[in-house]
Amino acid sequence: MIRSELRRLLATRLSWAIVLAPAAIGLGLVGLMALTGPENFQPPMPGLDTADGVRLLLGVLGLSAFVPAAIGTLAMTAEYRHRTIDATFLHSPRRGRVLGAKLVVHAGAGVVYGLILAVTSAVSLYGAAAVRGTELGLPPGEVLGVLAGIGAAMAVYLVIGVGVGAVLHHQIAALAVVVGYLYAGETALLMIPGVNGAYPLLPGGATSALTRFTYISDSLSEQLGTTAVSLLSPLLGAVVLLGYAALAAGAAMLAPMRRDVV
Amino acid sequence: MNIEVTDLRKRFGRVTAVDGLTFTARAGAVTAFLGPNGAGKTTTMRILLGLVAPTSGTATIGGRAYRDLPRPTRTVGAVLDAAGFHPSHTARDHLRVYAAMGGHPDARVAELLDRAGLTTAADRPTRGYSTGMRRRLALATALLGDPAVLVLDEPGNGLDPDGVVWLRETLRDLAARGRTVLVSSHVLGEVDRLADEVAVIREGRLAAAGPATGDLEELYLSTGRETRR
Repeated sequence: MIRSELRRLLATRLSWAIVLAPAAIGLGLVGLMALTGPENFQPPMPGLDTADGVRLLLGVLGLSAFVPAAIGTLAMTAEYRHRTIDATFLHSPRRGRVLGAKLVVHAGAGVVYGLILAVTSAVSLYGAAAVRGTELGLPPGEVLGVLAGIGAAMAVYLVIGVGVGAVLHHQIAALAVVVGYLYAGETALLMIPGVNGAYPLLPGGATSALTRFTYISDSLSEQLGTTAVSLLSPLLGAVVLLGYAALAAGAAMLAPMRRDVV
Repeated sequence: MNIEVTDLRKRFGRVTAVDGLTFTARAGAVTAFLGPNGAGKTTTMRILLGLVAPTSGTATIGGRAYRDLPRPTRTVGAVLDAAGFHPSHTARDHLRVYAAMGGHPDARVAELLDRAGLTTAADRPTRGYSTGMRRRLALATALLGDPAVLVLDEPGNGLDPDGVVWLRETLRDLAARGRTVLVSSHVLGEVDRLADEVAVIREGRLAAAGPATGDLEELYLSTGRETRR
């Protein structure tokens, strides 16, 4: 079953997105920001020679979580969009097994995505620091820890994308929900007094906890005059993210169980 | 291995799609499952294949429900009207995915591409396939497990005359080798020279069943007159 899902994924252009998208973000986005230097951003931010500057730059990667989530959603909903779901459930009437295999394969794809993102980001960061003659303000061990956390978070988001796709089926609707929520929805929730207290427990808040990236929540609190949101510890953030992955996986496996495929 | 449908009912909300349907499709014969559009043919086939749950009644293959078959695609091959292919997948990719899923050897992929006349197009994405090529690929997918039973929902839709002849010869050949073939259609001409048996369904109920001898058109139209009475 896993071999079958692996063949399915590798034969589509989505498998290229799993390699090219993180490489483009790691080399392009991180490289550009590191070469420019956060101290030259508008407004200026702490430079790469400070721990805050490095965390901020790596924390921005958390904002790209909608990309692996969209990849997972596209992979799952393609079954319904192109009507291959009939053949899939005919070959495996035990629907939970099919979804289980999809989750395992896409979790693996998410790990590959995260690894490429972490490696290319590290190359960009250290490369830019060398070019600019700056010594990074965060020791290599901590940089590695933050990048490992971000890489793992990306694998979780790909699984979340598969889960949302399995529940919603409709490709455009599922993409709108996943991308809309991760790209804009969660930041909008931060602006609502009362609701923003729950931010640390939301996927974006938990991801920010991994990098201790508080720039967005701090600046919003400052602009709105609300109390600053305090994030969970990196370990708790990881636990919360894994909880979302488990929730998405459970929903993906249960959603098609009794539903008629018409 | 017979297909047995017994007192089958399916309601979607207020709409009754299948209403107490009973018929048998026997091994070694092509059974034409006839009826106008919306008569309940597709729903019946989807229930038989475990894709839709019946409200009541049973639909079995060799005495077992589809989902209780140990290796379902080794027993039953199905072509459904709405089934599709990932547009980026080639025919070979598509067959390799389902060969792995059904536990069939990869050698079957080349065999079936050849049998379906798709060898030269095997490595082109299916997005560029004609309707006839898509139908051939769907049948090749159904035959991956060399099944004893074939269930085909409107397999002739969109086929050119060459494709119709190819389909007829393929299905006749399979029935001659003892396979059970159940093929739905709303086009009488398509099944006229193909079927050994017929089951006519109207408004979800069996309107007629028996050997496909004599004037199929007269038999079909007479069930329509009786339903309207």
